[in-house]
Amino acid sequence: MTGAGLAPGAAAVVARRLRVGYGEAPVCAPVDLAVAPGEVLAVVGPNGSGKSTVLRTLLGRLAPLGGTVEMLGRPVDERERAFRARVAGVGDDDAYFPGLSVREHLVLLARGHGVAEAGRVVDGVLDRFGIAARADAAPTELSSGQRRRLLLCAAFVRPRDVLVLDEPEQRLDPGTRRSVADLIAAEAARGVAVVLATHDPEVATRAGARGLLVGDEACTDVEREDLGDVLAAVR
Amino acid sequence: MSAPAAARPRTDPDEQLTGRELRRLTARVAASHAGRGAVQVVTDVAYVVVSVLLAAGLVLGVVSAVGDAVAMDQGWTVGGSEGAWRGGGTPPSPGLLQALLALVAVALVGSAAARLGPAGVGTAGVHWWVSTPADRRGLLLPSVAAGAGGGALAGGVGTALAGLAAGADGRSVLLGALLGTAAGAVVVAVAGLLQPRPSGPRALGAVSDVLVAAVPVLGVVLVGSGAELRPPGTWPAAATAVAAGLGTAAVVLVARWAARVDRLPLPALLGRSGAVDRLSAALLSVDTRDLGRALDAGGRPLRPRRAHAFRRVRGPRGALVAADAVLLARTPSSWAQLVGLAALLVLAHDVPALAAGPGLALTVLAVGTRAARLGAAGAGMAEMVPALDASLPLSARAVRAARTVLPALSGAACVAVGLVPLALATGSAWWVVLGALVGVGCGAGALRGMLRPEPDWSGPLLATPAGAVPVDAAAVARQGPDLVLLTALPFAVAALLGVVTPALVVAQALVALLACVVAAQPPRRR
Repeated sequence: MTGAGLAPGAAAVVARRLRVGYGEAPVCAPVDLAVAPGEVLAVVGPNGSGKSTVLRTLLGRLAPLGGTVEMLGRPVDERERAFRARVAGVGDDDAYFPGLSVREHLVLLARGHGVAEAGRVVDGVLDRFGIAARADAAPTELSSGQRRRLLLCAAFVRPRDVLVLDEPEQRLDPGTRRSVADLIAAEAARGVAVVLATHDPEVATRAGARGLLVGDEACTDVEREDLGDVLAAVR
Repeated sequence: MSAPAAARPRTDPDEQLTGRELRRLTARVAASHAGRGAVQVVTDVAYVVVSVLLAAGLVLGVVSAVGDAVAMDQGWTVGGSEGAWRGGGTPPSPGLLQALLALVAVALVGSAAARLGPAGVGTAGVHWWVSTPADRRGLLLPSVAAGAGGGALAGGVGTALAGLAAGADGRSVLLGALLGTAAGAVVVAVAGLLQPRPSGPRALGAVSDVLVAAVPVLGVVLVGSGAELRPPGTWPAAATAVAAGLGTAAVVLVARWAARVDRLPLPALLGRSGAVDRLSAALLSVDTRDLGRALDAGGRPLRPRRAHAFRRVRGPRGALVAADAVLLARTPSSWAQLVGLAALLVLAHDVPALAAGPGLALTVLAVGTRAARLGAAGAGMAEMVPALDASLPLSARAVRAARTVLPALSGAACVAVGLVPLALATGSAWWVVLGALVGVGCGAGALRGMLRPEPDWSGPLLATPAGAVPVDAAAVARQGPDLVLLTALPFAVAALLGVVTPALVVAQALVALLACVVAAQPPRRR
């Protein structure tokens, strides 16, 4: 299923001269990027440089000011079923079904995607993210770090060909950060195209990412071996 | 490079402001910044007085008209020539009706007090005042006085309106208002005493909601048993004594509340300021949807006791419907309201003005709309987090269609059950079918209202006395009610004719279907 519908060698995520911002004001220079299946791209830059805005535009949650975005060979339209079935995104929104426990929310999400043995899959992911003990709690009863883990769990209990993560390391302890980085690397190894915004050199390098440095004047590609130094410089 | 150390401030007990002084200082500074002179203040006061008088006149006119309509048989019938129905044989007496409506008014005061405080300060006050060493009691006492006074006023006005709407005589209205004033103050004082407890306001809100919902059920039972209640005008001495007792209790409770108000913890103050801010913002921006959310905030779901495995759920549509259904099942106040709404329709069956004709159509519409809104709670919450519905493999249109299911079911079930007595009385089960289809349309309208787009604040704004409002605010606000009104047309025709014809059933089914199709249509992108 991974990369289904894509021509061999084609990128899963493509942005050309993409201008992002609010109202009519762009927040950074135009973005050009291409992420192939099995590749990890880390969007990096200082606070306020526009990383999250780029990711929100890639996910179709914000209309571009100019340029184009394609995912899996089609222009992005987040209202389409095919897009929602194949693209998983984790932002800052506390997105969970009201009135359900942590486990119930994830099971319902997995069943909604037709995941076989949804309960077992959910238990595995909860265990992996270290919140199995809070499985029966309501999401509103979780700490901010635990809610962050719940949001990440939601992306991993469902099928995906593209994974977009906005600062997945936010509010996580160092051990869980490393675990998340390893999961991202494993995703790429399975052929998933991953785009993440991050400030954490360890997450980026451990996930095997190359980089895109977002700035006011230009957005520049960063080689994998230079990414740690670039991230250390912009911190 | 090390930053130079900041000078360490020293405290002087003589410079420490009390809570009262801090409040007054803030008020003086705010007034000086606002630059309001005496003329401006007089103009503002005159504006408020005129607005209140106009609003009071409007409300009194409407309530008096309702009272007249309830008291008189309007001559409408249902059931055709075979069995003309013009209301039950024993309509509720004015005294009983006044008591039931007054109970609703006082319960609503309790519900509002539990949701909005009653004691507290604004958001700025919470952040700037409460963190200072100033005594908390001095900061909060004005809100105690305002809460108790507001509760008494709301109780008095509410019960007076209840008396007028019930068609009671002047003396009964006056005595009812006296009782309501004292009861309102008691209820708010109790809410104030419960406010510091973590689950106190929530419990009081739930009890108030259940009481409001239980009133129609109580009415059905009392009317069914032939119980009568004399209006307070016929027992003035006892009514005055009860009011005096309630008033004494109110004074004692308010004094106790004022003495303990400094025990209010910061989370309670934060919660109260957030609720008030949200309500104020909804009122000022004329956002009826957010107003509903702010007022419904007390009816939160219970903590799940038994985990669902959702084994029978198949596919994304099933997941959405299951999520909505579990939310409704875990919200007891919603269940209580659904039962109360159905009972309200049953009770209306015994009131000649509401049992047939326009009264019947309006009652069905009101009950169907409220019941459908209760079923659309999940959609309303999901609207605030678009990423939630986008996480399932469904198009935006299919999401809206799936989210219509529960509001349509709750609206249809409530109206259909409430119309059973009418079907039995007229011998025509088609009234139930017609009502259920109206409920489906109300569900579509509720969903459309919950998921309507925000007004365009980036476009032209209209200056109003309450502040700037987008010019498209009215056009946006009518999304939802427009479908409900469309859906009501065939039923209204049936109610006016007094019979259900096959053509009307077909027309009702078609408009309900049309309403569902329109509700499933996502808004156009700006």
